[in-house]
Amino acid sequence: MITAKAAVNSSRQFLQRVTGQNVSFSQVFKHFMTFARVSVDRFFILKNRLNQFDILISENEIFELVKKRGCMLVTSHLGSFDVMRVLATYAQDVPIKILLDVKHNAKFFTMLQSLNPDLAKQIIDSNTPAPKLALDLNGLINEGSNVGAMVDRCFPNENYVELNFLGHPAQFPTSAWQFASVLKIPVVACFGIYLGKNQYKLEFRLISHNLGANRKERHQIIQQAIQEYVQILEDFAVKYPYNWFNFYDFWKNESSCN
Amino acid sequence: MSHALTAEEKELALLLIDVLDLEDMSATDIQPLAPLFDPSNPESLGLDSIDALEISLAVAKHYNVQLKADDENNKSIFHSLRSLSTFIHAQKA
Repeated sequence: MITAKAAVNSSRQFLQRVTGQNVSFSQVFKHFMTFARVSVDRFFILKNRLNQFDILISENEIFELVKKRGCMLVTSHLGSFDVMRVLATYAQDVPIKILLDVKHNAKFFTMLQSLNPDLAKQIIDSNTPAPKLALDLNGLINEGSNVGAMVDRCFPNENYVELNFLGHPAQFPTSAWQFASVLKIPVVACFGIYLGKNQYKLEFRLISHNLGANRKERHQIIQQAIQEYVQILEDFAVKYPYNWFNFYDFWKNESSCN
Repeated sequence: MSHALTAEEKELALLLIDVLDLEDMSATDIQPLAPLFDPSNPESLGLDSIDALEISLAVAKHYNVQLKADDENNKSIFHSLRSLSTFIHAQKA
């Protein structure tokens, strides 16, 4: 259960760690106002009303890779993942299926089903038994989809690695990376950064062309890739701290592993 | 039960060697009843969960058989080369 007080404390803790300074109330306020604005925008985006937003895309070679399709797009609760929808609709026609833990996101999933049933059909439940999920994802990739997955939040009973984030150990789930390895597809980190007013910016960073090329060093290669992602996530968090939307104790198990 | 590979098992063994990049093994190096995944057993191939997914994909492509069962059944299906082969050919029949 996340209370308002706990959310304020987690905002304060994050801002302290990301800025290295004491945090004023106005900073915490700005953090929540940014979250509120992006949450409201989300409704419009999920209703396909994208044309009221100004979404910038840096059209570099990594974006070209995503346009060719068949990538694992690793995303985070930083900014708005939903603006990525612009790729799948009028602007670019790049389809994305979303790997989501429907059980842990039941409220969101129910809301999505009523707001935009077509979009809800693009959700792949990550609770599907792994062998079937691998087959399903393989089929989707072959049909020309990208697959998106949030990889910054760890749910109980999930496999994870522990890596330093802003100088403190945090848990990052591994399963999306394992699927990317099995499917031998490129992994690209994506961020939909909120810039203020109605402006968003899509950013892409290539993490690996193929995590599954070498079986003997696979675990090490996956570990390195997650480490690289965490570094990228940290860079974005430092650059756009008010886009950080993990309002819970992100380093929750820190005391138990010390 | 025989420890020699049947023709079907040999075909599957070659597929596993190819998919899993076990280049230093031949089909006859895989004991039909040895556990595929148990790292504490010296006879085991010591495969891991990612290997299991690779095998699922390869079996779907090669045999057109989908290993979609839940985790509990997978344990017995994936136990050994023989159990996997038996399952595949039962599905095909």
